Amino acid sequence: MGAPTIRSALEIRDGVRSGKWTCVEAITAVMEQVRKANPKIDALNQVFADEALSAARELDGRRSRGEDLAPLAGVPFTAKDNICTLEGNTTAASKILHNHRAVYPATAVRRLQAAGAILVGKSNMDEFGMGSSTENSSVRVTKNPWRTTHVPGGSSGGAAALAAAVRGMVHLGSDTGGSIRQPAAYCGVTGLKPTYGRVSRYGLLAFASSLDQIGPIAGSARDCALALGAIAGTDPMDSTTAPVPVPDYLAELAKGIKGLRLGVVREYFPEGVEAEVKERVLEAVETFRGLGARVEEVSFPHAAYANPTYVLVSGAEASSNLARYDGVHYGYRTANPRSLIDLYARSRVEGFGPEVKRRIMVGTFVLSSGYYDAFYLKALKVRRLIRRDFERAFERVDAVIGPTSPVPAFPIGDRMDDPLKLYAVDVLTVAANLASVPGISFPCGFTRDKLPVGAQVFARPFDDAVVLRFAHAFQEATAHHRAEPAVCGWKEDGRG
Amino acid sequence: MAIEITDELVAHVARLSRLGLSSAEAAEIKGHFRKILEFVKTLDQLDLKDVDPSFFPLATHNVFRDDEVAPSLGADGALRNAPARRGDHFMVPRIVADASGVGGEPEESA
Repeated sequence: MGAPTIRSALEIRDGVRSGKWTCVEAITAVMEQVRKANPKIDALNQVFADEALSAARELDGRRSRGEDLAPLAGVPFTAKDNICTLEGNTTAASKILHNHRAVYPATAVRRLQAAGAILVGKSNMDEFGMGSSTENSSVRVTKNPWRTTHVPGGSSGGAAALAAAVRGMVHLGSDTGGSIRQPAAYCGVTGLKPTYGRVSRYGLLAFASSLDQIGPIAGSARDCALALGAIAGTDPMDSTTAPVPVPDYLAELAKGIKGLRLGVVREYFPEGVEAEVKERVLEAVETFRGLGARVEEVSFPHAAYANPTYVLVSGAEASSNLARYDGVHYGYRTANPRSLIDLYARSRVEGFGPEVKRRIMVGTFVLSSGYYDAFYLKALKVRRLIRRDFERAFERVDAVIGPTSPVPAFPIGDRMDDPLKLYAVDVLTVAANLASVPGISFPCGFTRDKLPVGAQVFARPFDDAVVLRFAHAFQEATAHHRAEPAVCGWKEDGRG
Repeated sequence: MAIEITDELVAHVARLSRLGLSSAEAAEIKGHFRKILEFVKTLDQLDLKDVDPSFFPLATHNVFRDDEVAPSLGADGALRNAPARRGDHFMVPRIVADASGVGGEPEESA
């Protein structure tokens, strides 16, 4: 059989299930695309080509012996480099964990593998998830497949870039303040931050524990639904996973959005949002209206306070979580320490990158005696007000919409001179984490310069199916998500 | 709350953070602290008198399980990534002086 041209992970699942392809054929076809695309975009920190092929052979062998086929048999996936895998290293793209080998897999990884999905690599990221461009990686700078002089967004930039360049895979990312949705927007793919507590965080290297969530990035909402169904649900190893039933997300997609009420968030189109971004998102709103959604305007009065609140809350939690990197238990250790304190202080200062050090310092400061009330406690109070904005909106509407990022992908290096310039692109994503609601970013068109624009839909906690239904309905009605960057292996059409 | 970001404050926070910052890094972070204070100042506009802090986003509940013996990470697993190991222990520099007063942790300047 000739090499299949694969367009989605669901196609692989169905092709393997029907016997059209073997797992080996599917994995071989996808890995061929990865081999062509990855050197152009530097999306992966590690590729497990041999291990993936062995896993595929193993699955094919089981089937030939008459065993039942696992539900996601042959579907290739990657894990962000802050998600523990028994394969390879788990580094969070940090020097301090450059040689760290996880001793257990993340629950999300274990569940995908148990379902027959095949791990093919670890994706690049901003160190510990701290960044919005994947430039804060100690390993490499990932490029945007739509324009390789531009960033892919971050922190799950490797995952989003590969999702755009190679179809037929699902990618596990993590989202603390937009790290799944914003790179998905910049790369023209679909990214879902599930409701807090929907997916186990066991085996995710913690950044900010009350905000972090693992979620899928893929070429379509349908592929995200496929992945979410496999990873969602309670886990004895993460007591914050919620005992809320996991629906059949793929089946939910068929319900469409007719009659659902969609709120356009007035405050999500401020001055800083580029005109073309605003236009594309408002066009998406009209598409939803045409599909039968009841559109109205809603207000988030505290939207402007979300980003400062996020900086304080995530910094505080990060400073505590990253205390474990001490040069004693794992990872990098400084040479010739004079004392234990010296060992800690030098291992950490030599092992962490500049942005991670900034955030640890800010977080330690706002938690320190004398400053706690003025900063951390105040931020937690504002966090409640932000959550109330969502609750009030969801009394009237089923979902709300706005742009994912105020700007499209920007040139590499453009925002590295001032950390605050980089924080500014998080302004529309962080509230979903503070309020614990599900959020999805999906491509809604392009700028005149051919850079993707993402729209973002939020819904009530545990209405992950609702945000997936909106993105899927949009993708049934439009073709933006099927557009392919020229860097794709099979479509060398010259541009860029 | 007007806060002056001094070199001493940055040094204090660096000690708490266990980060042996170089003077160039400390200076950079001092500037960053000022920008962050400016950035978060906007929160002062809000009247938060009657607002309870939200430490955790969603309703939480205790999770119980039966207290059953089950396999867990053994010493080899726990020590697998140790930069220095002796037997079943992580190795660190001496923290207690020997009888003659040699070695041990120097007093940390507060």
